Amino acid sequence: MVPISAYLILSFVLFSIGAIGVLVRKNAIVVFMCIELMLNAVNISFVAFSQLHGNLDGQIAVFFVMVVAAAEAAVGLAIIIAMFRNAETTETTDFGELKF
Amino acid sequence: MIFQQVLFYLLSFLIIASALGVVIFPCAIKSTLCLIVTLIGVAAIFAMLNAHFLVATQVIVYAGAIVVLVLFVVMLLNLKKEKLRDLISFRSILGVILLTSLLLAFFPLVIKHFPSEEFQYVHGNAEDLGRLLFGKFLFAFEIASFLIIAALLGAIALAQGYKTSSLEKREAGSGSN
Repeated sequence: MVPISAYLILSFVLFSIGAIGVLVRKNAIVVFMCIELMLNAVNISFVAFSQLHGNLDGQIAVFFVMVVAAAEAAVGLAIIIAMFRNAETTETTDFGELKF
Repeated sequence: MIFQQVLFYLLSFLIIASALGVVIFPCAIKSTLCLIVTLIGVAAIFAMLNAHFLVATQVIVYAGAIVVLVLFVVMLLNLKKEKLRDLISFRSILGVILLTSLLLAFFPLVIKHFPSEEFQYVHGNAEDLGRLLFGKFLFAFEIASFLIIAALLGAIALAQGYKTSSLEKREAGSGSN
């Protein structure tokens, strides 16, 4: 049997890869995909904990995370299209006017 | 049981390799295709954890709808390739070092606090999840439907931004004449 800690370590590695992608990449669409990776990592640990406690509430939480991810995909990609329309680029470093 | 372990390690290798592919590939299309592999691998992990309804939802919503939307936008926008050399900066190196050290500090903690004996099996089939969703979590479900409607209208408003602004420009131009 696979122990619960193996699932949690997989989840944490996936989350770290997503976070590194958000920090390193400059293309806004790839940053968006890395956020999806982080959400999926959290989903894995939700389902693993739901098995650990013998309770389905964690799987309902995954359901709502998917709802939020779908809403985020629609709005985020619309924002990226608006960015491209205004500046002909989606590099995050080109949108630094509000930076302190 | 040994089969389950081998399957888990193969799947986690696949997931981590394709997640690294998302971050590393300079071309956005290749990153998106790697993302599909990752999402289907996560669906298989859900299947190993007996979350059968979530497997279907993951494949349909994530690998079906969201990734298709991302691919659509990537192909619509005609992006330039990023050079890997440009990505290395002080900030990104600092972030990678911090996250890797956090990761290494997390491993022993997880192994110590979560032993394998207390693992129970619940089956996440559609009936039980549906009863929970429309019973205990009904209010959250309604809030989620509000969120989806708000996101839908917001996406339409954002994607149509150019049209309205050109209309305003035309009106402003006719007003000055």
